[in-house]
Amino acid sequence: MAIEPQASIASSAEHVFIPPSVPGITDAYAPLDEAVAALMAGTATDVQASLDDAANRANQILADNRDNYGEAP
Amino acid sequence: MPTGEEFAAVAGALSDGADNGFMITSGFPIRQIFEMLLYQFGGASFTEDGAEAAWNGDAGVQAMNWLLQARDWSQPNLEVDAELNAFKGGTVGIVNGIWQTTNVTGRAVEFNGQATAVPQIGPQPAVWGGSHQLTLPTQAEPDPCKDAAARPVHQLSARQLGHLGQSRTVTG
Repeated sequence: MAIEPQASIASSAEHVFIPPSVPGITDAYAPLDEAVAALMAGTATDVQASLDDAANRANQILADNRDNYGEAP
Repeated sequence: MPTGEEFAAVAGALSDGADNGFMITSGFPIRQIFEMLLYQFGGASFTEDGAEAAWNGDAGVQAMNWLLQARDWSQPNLEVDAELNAFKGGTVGIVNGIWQTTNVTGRAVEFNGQATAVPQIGPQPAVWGGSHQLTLPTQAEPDPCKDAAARPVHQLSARQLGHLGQSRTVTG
């Protein structure tokens, strides 16, 4: 007997993407969180510029993390 | 996975005045939904080595534009979790994660609420995944003080606390 909801969503399991295994990677998502929320709320309207800005800020965080935590093992 | 066309057809058909075929807010998990679309449009959040962000290419713009037009099925300025409450009232469809299944399906709702795979809006199938990990590594030189401090953490991980699952073989 199929167990729900697992049976209905099992087909998705083959197409999962996960965050990179990099120390402190969660920190680098914060600028993206802010950009997506602002665009959805309408407080930001330029999609490309918002995503570019978030990427630049995330890259700085990634660089700082490499200094603090080193590379992934 | 339902296709983007199927999803749009149903969401549009169910959107009528006060009813929303699909509801979306600007709060969690909107960034995860963006990432799902980003990957479906052939992009990625980071470069393969995890060294740089990569969400600002064409795929990211396509993903964001889809989300922005999805607001046509929804309502503006919805507070976080508004879609969950509306779904439980039986008036909308939503995209959320497996952490919500006990909250919005089965006995939690009065209708036959069911979960299904996320729709494939872009040309490639993709779905966001992640997990919570609580790890207590063994120490090369055990310290009794640190050992004692770790015991409450062990107790925490030994119970089912929302997202924290049990793994007795690891912590036992």
